[in-house]
Amino acid sequence: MLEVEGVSKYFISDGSKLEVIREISFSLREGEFVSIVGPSGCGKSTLLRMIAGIERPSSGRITFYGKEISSPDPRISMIFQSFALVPWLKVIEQVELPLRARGVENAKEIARKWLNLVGLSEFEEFLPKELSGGMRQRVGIARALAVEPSLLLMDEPFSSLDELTAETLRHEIIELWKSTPSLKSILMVTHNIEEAVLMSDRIVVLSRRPSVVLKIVNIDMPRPRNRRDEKFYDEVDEIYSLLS
Amino acid sequence: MLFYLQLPIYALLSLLRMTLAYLISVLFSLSVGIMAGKYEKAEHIIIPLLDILQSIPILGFFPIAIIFFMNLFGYIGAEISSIFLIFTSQAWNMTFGVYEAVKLIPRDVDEMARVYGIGKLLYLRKILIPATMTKLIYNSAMSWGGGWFFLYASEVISVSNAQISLPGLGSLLALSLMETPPRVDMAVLSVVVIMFLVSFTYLFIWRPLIEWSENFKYEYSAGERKRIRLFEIPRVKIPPFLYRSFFRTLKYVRRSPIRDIMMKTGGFIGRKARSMRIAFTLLLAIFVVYAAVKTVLSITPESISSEYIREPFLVLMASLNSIRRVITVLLISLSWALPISILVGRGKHWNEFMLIFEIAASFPVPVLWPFLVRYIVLPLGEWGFEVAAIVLALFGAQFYVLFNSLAGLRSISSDLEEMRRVFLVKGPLYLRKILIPGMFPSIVTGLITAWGGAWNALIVAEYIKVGEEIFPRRKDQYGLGTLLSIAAWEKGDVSSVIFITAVLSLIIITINRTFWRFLYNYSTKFKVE
Repeated sequence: MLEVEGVSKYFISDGSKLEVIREISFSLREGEFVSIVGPSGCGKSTLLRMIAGIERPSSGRITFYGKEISSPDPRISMIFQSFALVPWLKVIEQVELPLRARGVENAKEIARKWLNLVGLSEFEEFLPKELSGGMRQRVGIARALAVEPSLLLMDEPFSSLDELTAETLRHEIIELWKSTPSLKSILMVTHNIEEAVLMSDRIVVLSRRPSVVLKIVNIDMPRPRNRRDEKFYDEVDEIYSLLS
Repeated sequence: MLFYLQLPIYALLSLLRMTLAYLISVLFSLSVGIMAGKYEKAEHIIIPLLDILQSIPILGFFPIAIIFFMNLFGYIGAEISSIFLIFTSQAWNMTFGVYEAVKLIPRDVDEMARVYGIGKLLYLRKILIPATMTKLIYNSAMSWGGGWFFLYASEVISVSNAQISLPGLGSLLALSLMETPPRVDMAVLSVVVIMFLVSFTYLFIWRPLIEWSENFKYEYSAGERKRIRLFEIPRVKIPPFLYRSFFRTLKYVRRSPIRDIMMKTGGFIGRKARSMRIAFTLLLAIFVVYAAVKTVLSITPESISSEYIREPFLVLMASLNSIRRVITVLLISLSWALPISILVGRGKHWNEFMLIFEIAASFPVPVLWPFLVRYIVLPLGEWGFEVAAIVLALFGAQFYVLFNSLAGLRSISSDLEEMRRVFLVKGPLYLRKILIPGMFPSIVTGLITAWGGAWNALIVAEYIKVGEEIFPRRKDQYGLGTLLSIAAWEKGDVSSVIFITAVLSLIIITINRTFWRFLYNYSTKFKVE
C-alpha cells in the first residue's frame, strides 16, 4: 500500500547542504506492522513526516495506493511522541477536532466510542494538564484511530512514558490494530530496538546521517511475543550489531 | 530662520539627552533591581511600587516635572525634566529585568559563592552583574527604542511653549513646519536623521550586544526551543567587520586605563562607604529642603486657582472623550494586527518582515505630530483634529499588538502545527480551536501594553497650539490631555495640573486593576506550559 522509492532529503542551512536521508527505499504491505530504527538524528522522524505529507522529499517519491503523497492524506493518521494535544481543549474535544475537520456529523458519538475503547470515558471533560502521561497518549491514540485511517504512523509513541505504562500501551496498540478492520497497517519510528522486535513484522534499520537502509529484518515470530525467548534475543542482537 | 548647520548640532543634543537618561536608568536599574532581588524587605516595597509606576502614563507627569524642575533650576530645568521623562520611560522595565535575572540565579551558584567565601565586591562583579546582563541588555534595547518617543515628545511639546526650549531634532522638525511657508526640506532632513539614529543604534549597537549577552545565560536544558519574546531579534546578517570592530573597541575599552580608574574609584567608595553615605544623605537633605522652600515660595494665586476642580462635569466629559479615543485605537490596532500576524507569522519571510516592523515601531511617533497638524488639522478643523489625534495614538499603540500577537503565534508549538496538518484541521476550525486560543494570552499582553502606549500618545495628541489658536476648538472635544496642557501651559494652574494628573492615573490604574487584570487572569487558561 505504501512505497518509498529512492527518497533523499537535505536541508539548506547557512548556505551549506545538510544531507539527512540518502536514497531510502522500502515498501509497506496491507496487514503489516513495520518499524524504522536507527541512531538518533538519522532522519527517521523526517521520513515519517514525509509519509504524513507535511514535508516533501528532496528527491525520490512516496506513493500511497499508487498515488504520490504531496499533502496529508485523510487515510493516514499519526501518533506523536509529545502527544501533540491542544492544551486548552477538553479530552473529548481533542478527539472530535479531526472528525469535525472532516465534517463528520456525529463527531461527538464517535469520539466517545474511541475514548471508551482506550479506557478514558470517565475523563471526557478533563484538560490534558490534568492527565498523566499514559492517559495523554491514550487520548492521542483515540484521536488517531477515530478518523478510521488505513495507515497509522507512530513517531516514538512510547518514549516519553515510563516503562510500565509504555509496555501496557504497546499491547493495547496491537490489540486495537487486530480488532479494527479498517486499520490495515502501522508504521512506527523508534530508537528502542526491543520495542521494535516486540511489535513489528519487519524492521527497517537505518544508518547514521546521511542515512541509508542498512538492512530490512524480518521478524517471524507469532504474537504475543515473549521477551525471554531466545529467538527474540537473537533478533535484538542482530540489530544492535548492525547499528554499532 | 533655520540653518542646515543646526541639524548636526541639534541631533547631537537629542542624542546627548537620550544617552544621559539611559546611563541614569542603567545605574538605577542595577542598584534597585539587585537590591529587590537580594533583600526580601526591599523586594516587598520596590516591586509593588514599580508595578504602579510602570502602569501610569509618563507623559501625564511631564507638565508637573517641568513646572517643578524649572522652578528649581530655571532654564536647565527643562533639560532635566526631559531627561527625567526619558528616564521614567526606560528605568522600570530594565529594573524588572535585573530583578528577575537576580531571582533566576541558580541556588547552587549562590551556595558555591558561599562555600568558597567569595567576597561581596567580587560576588557583585563576577556573579550578580553578569547574571543580569542578558535581561539588562535585552530590556535596554527595548527601553532605548521606547525612549525616542519621549525624547521627541518632550521636544515637540516644548515648541508650543514660549518659556520652555529644548533644542533637538524633534523641535527642529516642528519648527520647520510651523514657519510660513513651511520648510519642508528641513523637515524631511530631520526625519531622515531621526530614522538614521533610530535604526543605526538598533542595528549596530543593540543587536550585536543582545547576541553577545546570550553568553551570560544560565542554560537549564540543552535542547530547549528558544522562546520568542517581544521584539525578538531576527537573524539578519550584520557584516562581520562591523562586529569585529565593535568587539575590538570593547576590548580596547577594557584594557584602557578607564577600567583601572573605575576599579580604583570602586575600591575607594568601598573603603569610604561610611563617610560617603553620610555625605550623600547630607546632600539629599539639602536638596529636599531647597526644593520644598523653592516650591512653597513659588505659590501664586494662579497656581492654586484650581479651576478644573470646580468643573467636575468638564473633567468627566474629557475623561470619556479620552477613553473613547483610546478604545478606538485599540480596536483599530487589533483589527489589522491580528490578520497580518496570522498571514505573516508562519511565512518564509518572517525575519525580513520583523526587521521592517521593528524599525517602523521604533519610529518616534511624536515627530509625526507637526505633519499631522500642518496637513490634517489645519485644513480640516474639528474633524481633522479627531482623526489626527487617533492616528497619532494609533502609532503609539498598534505595534505592541502586532508584536505580541506575532510572538503568540510563534509560541504555538510546532507539534501542534504538525498535528493539525496531519489531521487536516484548517480554515475557521483551525482559527477557532487552535490559533486564536493559542494567541490569546499574548494578544491580551499586547492590548495592555498598547493601552498604556495609547494614553501616552494621546497626551501629546489632544492639545495643539498653532500661533494663538488652540485645537480642539470646541469644549466638547476636550480630552484629559487637553485639560492637562491648558492648565500647565496656558493658565499656570499647578493645582489643576496635579488634579488632572491624579484623575488620569486613577482612571488608568482602576481599569488596569479590574478589566485588564480579569482578562489577563482569564487568558492564563490558554497558556502553553
